[in-house]
Amino acid sequence: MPGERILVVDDEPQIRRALRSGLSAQGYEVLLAADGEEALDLAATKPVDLVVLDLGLPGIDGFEVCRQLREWSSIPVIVLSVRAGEKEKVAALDQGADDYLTKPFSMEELLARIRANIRRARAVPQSEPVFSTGDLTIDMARHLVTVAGQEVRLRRMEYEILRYLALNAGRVITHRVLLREVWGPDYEEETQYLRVHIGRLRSKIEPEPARPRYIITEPGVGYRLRVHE
Amino acid sequence: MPSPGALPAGKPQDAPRGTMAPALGYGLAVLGVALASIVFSMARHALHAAHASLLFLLVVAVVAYVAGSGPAAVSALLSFLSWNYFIIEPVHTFAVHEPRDLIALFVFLVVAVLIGELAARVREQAAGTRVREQAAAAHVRERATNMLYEISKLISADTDAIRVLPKVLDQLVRASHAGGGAVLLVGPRGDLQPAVTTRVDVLDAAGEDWRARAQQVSRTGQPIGLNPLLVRAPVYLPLSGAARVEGVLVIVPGMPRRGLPRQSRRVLLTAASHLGVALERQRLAAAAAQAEALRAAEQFRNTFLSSVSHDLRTPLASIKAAVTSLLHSEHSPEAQRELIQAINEESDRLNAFVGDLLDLSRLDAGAWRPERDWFDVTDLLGTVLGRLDDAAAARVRLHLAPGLPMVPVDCIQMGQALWNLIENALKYSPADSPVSVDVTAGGKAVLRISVSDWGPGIPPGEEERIFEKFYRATGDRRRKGVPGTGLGLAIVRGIIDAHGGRVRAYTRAEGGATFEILLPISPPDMPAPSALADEPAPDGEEYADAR
Repeated sequence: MPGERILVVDDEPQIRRALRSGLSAQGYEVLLAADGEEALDLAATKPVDLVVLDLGLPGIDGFEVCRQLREWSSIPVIVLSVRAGEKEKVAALDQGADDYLTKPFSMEELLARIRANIRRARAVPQSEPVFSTGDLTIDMARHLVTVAGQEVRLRRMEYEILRYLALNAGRVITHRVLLREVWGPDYEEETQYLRVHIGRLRSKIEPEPARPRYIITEPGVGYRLRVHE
Repeated sequence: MPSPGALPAGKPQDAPRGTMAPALGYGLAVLGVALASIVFSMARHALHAAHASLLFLLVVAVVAYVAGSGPAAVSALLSFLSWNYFIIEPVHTFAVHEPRDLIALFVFLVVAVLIGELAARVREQAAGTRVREQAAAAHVRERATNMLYEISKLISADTDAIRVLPKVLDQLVRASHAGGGAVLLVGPRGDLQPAVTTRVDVLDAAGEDWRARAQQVSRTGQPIGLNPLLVRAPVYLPLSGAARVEGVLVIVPGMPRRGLPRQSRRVLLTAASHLGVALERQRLAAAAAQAEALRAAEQFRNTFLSSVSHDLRTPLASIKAAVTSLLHSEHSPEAQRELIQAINEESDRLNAFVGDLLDLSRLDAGAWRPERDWFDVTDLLGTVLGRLDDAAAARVRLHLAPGLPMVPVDCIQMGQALWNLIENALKYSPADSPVSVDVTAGGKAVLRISVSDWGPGIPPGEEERIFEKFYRATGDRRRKGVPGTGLGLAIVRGIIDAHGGRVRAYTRAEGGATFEILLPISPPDMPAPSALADEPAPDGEEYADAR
């Protein structure tokens, strides 16, 4: 959305340049930081709507920046990483990041994630009872789920999973968080339950369960409800 | 002379020393008595009758010792007669006038016979002792040979001669009744180092610098201490191969006064020679293996470098060309878009290649180490297909059997393997042909995933070679134009192998290639998924809420 301010933190000047031109072309105001300290200073002194944070920073690394930021702020943070290793991604997300992207990434994907995460940060639950994307519609006030106009009957947990993903549409949710939110803290490790239920959910709402359009697997990390724009 | 060791107990006549034909024995008896008689008669005036008896007794004793009791008895009798005839008065008759002479004669006869018997018996005993000694010696030799056989077996049984050294040394020390021993080996720099020792205290107490002496032996290649005169000193034996001294064996006798038994020396020498050859063989084999490893590494490095430089530079060249063209020339918007598309695609290819390189390092180390969890194959495939662009995704047909079990896999690695196979199938077949992915359960133990295309298939005979690193199919003109690192299939095989499965490729009768993965469903170290999924996972009833 135009006018929103994004803080970009990366030690590589080419990346900063590319992001600044890419983001401002979409109407965002861009602040740049080359290391963690500069980033924390800027975030503390200026109002910022979202932070794009590279994990591989000199000095204090991206994880630490994220952790410190989270001590006093709930600004959405998208982390960038060269390594595709899921452990690193999960660690960042557990530290408080809201989403991640692996370099090299496409600008399109970054913009989509920025939109999704700013929207999430702004969302006020009661004001948006109906969520809709593509052919999927979820009326959260009436617990009604339809796909291409057809009502889908879901069991309670399947609905809760879908609801949580929809509230965070476009953002990745780690297994741990999803399990905690839907079943409770005691179930944080039970990724097996989650997979079984996601499988059942997909078979009910996906036109082609083997090629999901809505509930996307992020291998080794979690799930994301894709927003069709 | 007949072989002495063969008989456990022999007749006196066949005994080793003084073997004498019976005729010779009796002849000697007669001769001896005759000689004694002549001697006495010639010196009769100087000699007494008593001297004659002593002379004859001497003859009897000698004959008994040399020829046995038969000839001794004969000589006793003959002496008795001769003494009577030639010496006792009256001379030259067998009559005896003086009673005391008769008594003397009888006493003489008895004594003569007794002496004869005694001498013969002593001789037999000596012979018997000799026979027993020889038997014992033969027995010792046989034991030594057995020990040698055992030691040789020990050395031959293991190609790692160094590993068996402690046992071999132990056997050698015991076989030679030694007090202690050591084996020193020549190291790669030519220095001699103790490899294994037994009873170092005994070695050190031997009274000399055994390490320095061993050094000396390793240089000269000559043993020290085998000379039976120096019985107390340690024995140093070089362990020599055909080309050089590989080490030194040091043995300290356990009984300093007696030194090493002779048989032990034989065992030691033979064992030392065998050990030397075994050590040499091991050293040469290790050197050959190392040379081969170096050669293989060198070859790989060359292949790798040429592949990397080609695969990195090719997309970079395209990018550079497109970018510089955009910078320096005017293009229509469509042309610009095309060039920019090309840059985007080539960047993706570069990125894929970098990923391949990273996977390559894991390939080499065999370091996949899958972190397994139970996954739905459908989910894995869905993720892979999600990465394809719409046109490519549209070409893929999925055929999933109903009720497929979960598989215990590392989702990232298995995703990579499936991606490689599907991408390959899409790349190597015409752009309008379908790629089919079939998943079925093969009984309760195995999941079968196959990816089939309608391309040219696999060159006959290359069905295994295509899984080698850097392989690119030869012969097909169209295939040559297809870019790729040649690592994709090698990575697939590495991943599938690490999961305990198998992957193979074949050309179908109707044309096209099929790649088939077989994955085990139940590795022993994971709890079955049903145990978790069937637990009453709280999922509540259906939502029947107020509308």
